[in-house]
Amino acid sequence: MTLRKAYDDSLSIAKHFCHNGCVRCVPTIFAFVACSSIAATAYREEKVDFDREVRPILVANCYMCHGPHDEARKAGLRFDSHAGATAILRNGRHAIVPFNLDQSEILQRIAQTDIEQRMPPAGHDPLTPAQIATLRKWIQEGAVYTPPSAFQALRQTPPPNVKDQTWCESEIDRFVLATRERIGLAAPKTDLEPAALLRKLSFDVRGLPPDEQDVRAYSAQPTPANYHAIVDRYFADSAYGERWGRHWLDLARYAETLGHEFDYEMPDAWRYRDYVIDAMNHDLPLDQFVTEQIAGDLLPPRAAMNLPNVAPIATAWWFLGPAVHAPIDVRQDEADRIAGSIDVLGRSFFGLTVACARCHDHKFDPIPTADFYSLSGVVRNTRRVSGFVDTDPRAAGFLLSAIEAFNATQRSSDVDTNILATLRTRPEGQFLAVKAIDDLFDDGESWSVSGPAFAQGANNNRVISSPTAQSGTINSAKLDPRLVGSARSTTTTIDHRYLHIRLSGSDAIVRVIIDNYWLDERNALLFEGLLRRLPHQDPPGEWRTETLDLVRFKGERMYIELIDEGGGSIEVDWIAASDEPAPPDSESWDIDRISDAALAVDVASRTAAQDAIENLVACTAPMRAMIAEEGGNQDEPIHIRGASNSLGQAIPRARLQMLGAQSAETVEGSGRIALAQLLTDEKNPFLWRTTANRVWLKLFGRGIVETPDDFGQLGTPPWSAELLDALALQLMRERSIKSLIRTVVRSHAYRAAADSGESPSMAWSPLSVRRLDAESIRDSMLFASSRLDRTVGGASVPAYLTNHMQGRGRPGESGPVDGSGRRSLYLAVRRNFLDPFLQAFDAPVPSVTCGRRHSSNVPAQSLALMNSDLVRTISEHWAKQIVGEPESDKSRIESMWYALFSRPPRSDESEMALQFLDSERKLNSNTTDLLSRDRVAYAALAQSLFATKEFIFLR
Amino acid sequence: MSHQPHHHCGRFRATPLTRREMLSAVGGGFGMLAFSALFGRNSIASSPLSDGRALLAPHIPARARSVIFLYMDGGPSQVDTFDPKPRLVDLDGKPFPMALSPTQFNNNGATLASPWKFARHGQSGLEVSELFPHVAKLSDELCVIRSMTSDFAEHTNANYFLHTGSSIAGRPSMGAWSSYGLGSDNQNLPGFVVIDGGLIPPGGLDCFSAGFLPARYQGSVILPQAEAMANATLQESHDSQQRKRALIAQLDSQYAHETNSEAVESAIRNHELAYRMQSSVPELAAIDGESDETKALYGFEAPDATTRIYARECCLARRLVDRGVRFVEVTCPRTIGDRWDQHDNLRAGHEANARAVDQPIAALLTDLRRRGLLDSTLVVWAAEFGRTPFAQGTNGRDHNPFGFTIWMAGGGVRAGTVIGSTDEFGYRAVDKPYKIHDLHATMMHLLGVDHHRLTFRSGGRDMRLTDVHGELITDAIA
Repeated sequence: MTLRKAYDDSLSIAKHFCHNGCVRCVPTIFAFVACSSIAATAYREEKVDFDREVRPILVANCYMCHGPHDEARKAGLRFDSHAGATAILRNGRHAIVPFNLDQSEILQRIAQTDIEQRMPPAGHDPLTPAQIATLRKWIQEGAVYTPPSAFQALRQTPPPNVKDQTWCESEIDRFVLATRERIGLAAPKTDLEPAALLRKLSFDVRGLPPDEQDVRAYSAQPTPANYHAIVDRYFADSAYGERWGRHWLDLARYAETLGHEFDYEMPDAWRYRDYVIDAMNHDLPLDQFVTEQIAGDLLPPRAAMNLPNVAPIATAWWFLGPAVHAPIDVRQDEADRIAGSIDVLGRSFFGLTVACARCHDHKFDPIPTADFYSLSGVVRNTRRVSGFVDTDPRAAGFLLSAIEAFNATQRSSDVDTNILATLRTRPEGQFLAVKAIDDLFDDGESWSVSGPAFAQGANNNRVISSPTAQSGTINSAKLDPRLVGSARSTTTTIDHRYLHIRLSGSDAIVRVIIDNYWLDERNALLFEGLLRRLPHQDPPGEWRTETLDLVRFKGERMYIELIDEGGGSIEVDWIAASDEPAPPDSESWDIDRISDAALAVDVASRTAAQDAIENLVACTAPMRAMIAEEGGNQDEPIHIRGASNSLGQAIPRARLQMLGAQSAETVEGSGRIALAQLLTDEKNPFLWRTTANRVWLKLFGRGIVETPDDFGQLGTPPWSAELLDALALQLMRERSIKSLIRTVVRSHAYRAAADSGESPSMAWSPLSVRRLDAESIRDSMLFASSRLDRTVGGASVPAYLTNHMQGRGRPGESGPVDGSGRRSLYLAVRRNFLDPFLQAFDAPVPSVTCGRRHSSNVPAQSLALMNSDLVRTISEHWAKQIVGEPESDKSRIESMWYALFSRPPRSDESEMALQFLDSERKLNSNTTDLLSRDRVAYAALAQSLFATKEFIFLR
Repeated sequence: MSHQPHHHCGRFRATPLTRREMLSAVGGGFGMLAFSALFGRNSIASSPLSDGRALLAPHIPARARSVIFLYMDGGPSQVDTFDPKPRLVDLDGKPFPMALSPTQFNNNGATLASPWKFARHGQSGLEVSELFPHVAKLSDELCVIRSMTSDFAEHTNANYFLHTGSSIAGRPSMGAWSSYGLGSDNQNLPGFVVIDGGLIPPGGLDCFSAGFLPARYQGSVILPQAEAMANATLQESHDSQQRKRALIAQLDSQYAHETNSEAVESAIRNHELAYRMQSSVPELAAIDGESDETKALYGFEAPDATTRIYARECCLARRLVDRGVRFVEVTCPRTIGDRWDQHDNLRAGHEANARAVDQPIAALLTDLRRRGLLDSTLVVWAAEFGRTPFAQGTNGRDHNPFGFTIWMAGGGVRAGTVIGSTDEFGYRAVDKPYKIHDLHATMMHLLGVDHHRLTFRSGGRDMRLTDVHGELITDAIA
């Protein structure tokens, strides 16, 4: 088979299979057809690999009518399982009889020349002879259905026997050496020098170079005990969490602006970054870390970062993607946002391109479209809210006592109850199609709240029972006007044009959120009037009705949000939907008719609870953070061919067919808890295997699977599946990333030096060099020059803007050139204004999950090292530090070498540097100020050393 | 290399084959090109051609060596520039007679006739409005496509789509694809250069991104001013830098020897390129050294400041293609009218924008032609979409992706022609509707690249500029 033919075949496969123009798989299908056929002709003696050779043929040619879709299935035949393919057919025959070519009807049908009889049927291209040959051979060999390797359970394999036992110090070593011996290679001959090893370890664990004294001490006594002690010390350094937290941020496509046209800010995004650093530093168990990303708002409180409950902050993970302002089709926009989240989820936690199943079943991996929509349902029932997180550990207790005291005094008020009784008798049928709050929002019983202002019953971020039951209103000032908080209704479908909201208040917000679209708070285009800021009013008691026109959004889903950010108040009595622009006449049942009397009672009885409330108010105010909240429990229908206006069967939330059979129980709420359980289930290998591989990749510069975000059919296979599973099993047992890193860096393999010219692809081999990543380069320049500010966390340093960084959304002012000496992960990540220095060295563009960074080689890198403001500024700073110490040139040079290369200069290098300094000084010999002459010379030397390759590469 | 027979598909998954092995495996012919395209990054990473090309030779004979993409930020109105619609005059002020699709602002007014008169020009008799008096004189060089469409009515999505073939951020720009496929004919300058006149398109620098391609292919933004490129201007004396360079070279050669690593060697080569760029970029940017006649032609001394900016941009663009740069994009200067995006005050805004670009564009075509460069340069004039033939409010036009005009000129283009048409009101493309993917396919074709066959493996798929789409606009090809 020629490749030309293979290409044509792929084109036709793709053309007839993909309905939606998602024939984007042509090239990949091509590759498969080409490879399958080369395989079929060249390597006859090998058994056919179902996963790599057969499944693609079945997927592309047969699944459309004989696959997992119940509705589409013809003749009751399915080829997506062994049982289905070998079942008895209506004509009494079998599509496939293992080992039996004659009785396997499929072979007759695909080889038919009569187009009436042929499969695939008329209108579709026939299989190629090579494909037919592959299927024949597969059936002859027993038609075995093997699950794809990524889906196979973790397997414990005893470490293999190797010839060179002496080289092996750990199980890892035996696994890696076995891969080498298999292809005739011996163990690496040499180990890294102690100094080079320490430099690598320090960058790998902390993203910073080692201290000079550590290098000296360890070089003098490179014992295992000393090495282990340094490893432990590095783990205890907060720089560890910064380094490994940044790796996670690469996966989460972390940024602090929304990109798109105006690059609006996400003001609280950095709290997520700090959460991640903190979680890494505390070595939060992996399953808990993952569960908190998915559903931290639904977990019992976990204290950290000086916060009584840090877990909800993790849920910002869902919302870190870019966002579109003024989408013309808000439902489609929501679907796109959801797809973005699912893409990140799939790559980060499964190592699979789950989002490929948005329009059709995954072409190569067993991921049905239904699974995409099972996840869609989870995301769609999850809200992005600007929530309030407790900062004061006492606050929750005080709130509880305040509520109890308050409720006790309320219950003693007969007057109040009587008035409420009349209030709740609302007329029916008075106003056509009016729905009052009770009907619209589930009896008004299940508003969810965040912060103390609306919370009369329970913890933060919990759905509370009946905030309206006592007074007939939702009121942010009920306990005290000084409290902050927000409240959200349940989700409902818009079936009337107008929404009338009866309210009173001052300096607060009432808004309608449609299809979870929230960007109208930054740009109201197309969503005018859906967010109302109540102007300052003194006193705030006057009642009025706000009417919102939802004409463009009929049929969409919406909820109502009330926000009191402190200092204001908002009270809502009723909300009605109608098709009339004028609000209903509510005189007979408005609360304001009698509110004076009701409030008089309230105010009088409230004094008893005042102490508790004062305690609460005296607590540190809750902080705002972008977090997730439950938003319903509706299953999402399949969007046929990815179109949000063409809906199919509803798919249960958090029930993934790709994980095999699961319980039929309905999941609670959005299903995020259930999803987190699936992800962290020990039966499912994905999280453990992909994470173990990520750890290995970051420590060796090359993964065991080289495509860390794609373990599927189009990724690369592991060069040692046994080693990968051994590491994954350790991770699953211990849940500790730190412990896994410790295991790896203690192996002999980690210490091994590269043998020149060796780069086998299906065996382990140390790399000769690895370029430092962008952050490490910048951070170690700061470190060398003593400019590094080791403060952990906090709001980001504003981006330094050059003349060449233009465009909409450019901040008014530039940040400091050296980022105030902060580590690179604290520089603001603005999607449309990414730091050009970090970009040049391949910091990721935060649009998709990035498990492996490029290590490119572009002139912009050298230009930045030669001429950028950043490098010049740091060089000058360093020079100032150097000449400030009364040392000889020689010892200064030695310190510089240690700072950048973690070793002393050789004598010829020292001589070169001295000569360089001398000629620099001579050039400026007319300068009488010796100190400043020295400074210029040392700045030039510093900048030269920054531009050396040894500085930006690791051994 | 350890090419293991039992890993028959390994050649597809990893990098076990050398170029030589690949060639012998497929027996030449179709082989090399397909493989370098198919194996994308792998073949490049394992054995980079010195100029970073993915293709050893064009797939098809190249008609153009370079592209100048004149990006008309915001979307000029087709019915006011190159697509005259007399019916609009009849119905001016009356209700628009066709069914409307949702628009960006949903503030749709009455039919709005063009405030500008059209006249026929040149032998081709091309109809051009009085907004473009200079370009009109070059009508016989233009191939006007009146039936372009886009899938997006909103700037940013439409811009990503126009630039990358996808509406979301993070995909490689067409300039990145071009230099990935064909490399650069100038080893001292980047292969993809964006000249920033003051308006970076909505979507920001992601419009010029290398996406998942290696960073070397991303657009380098230069400004039409003395310091054209970031960090490319020497910040110290030549002597001073030479001494640094010597020291660095000494230290590096020792390290290269110790490590014996291709990565280190290539970083050293790259440092030398950066060093050379410190001369080549200022030399490129020294446009004031052009002759007085040339400067006057472009409009260096034009009365309008925005014309003067765009004149320098167009002149720089010519200098870039003259130096072998593969793909040049020219963005608009900031005028009173907020680019071509006239949601109101159509007349004042379009006049300001046309005034900024008309003379410099005509000068660019003229200058390329007289220097013999027009035959090898594909000039494309395009925006992310057009505008509605009915009013937004009373005197503006909203976004219209359903039918709008672009034009091409130069290498391989059938000059003096009009292709396709919109309906009688200029609202929707009716005859030969084309998609942005078709434009991309055609541009790549003229550069000698089969858009199907230039791919790069990313995220489990072999990606390409045209995704799974793209038909050649054959009428546009000479």
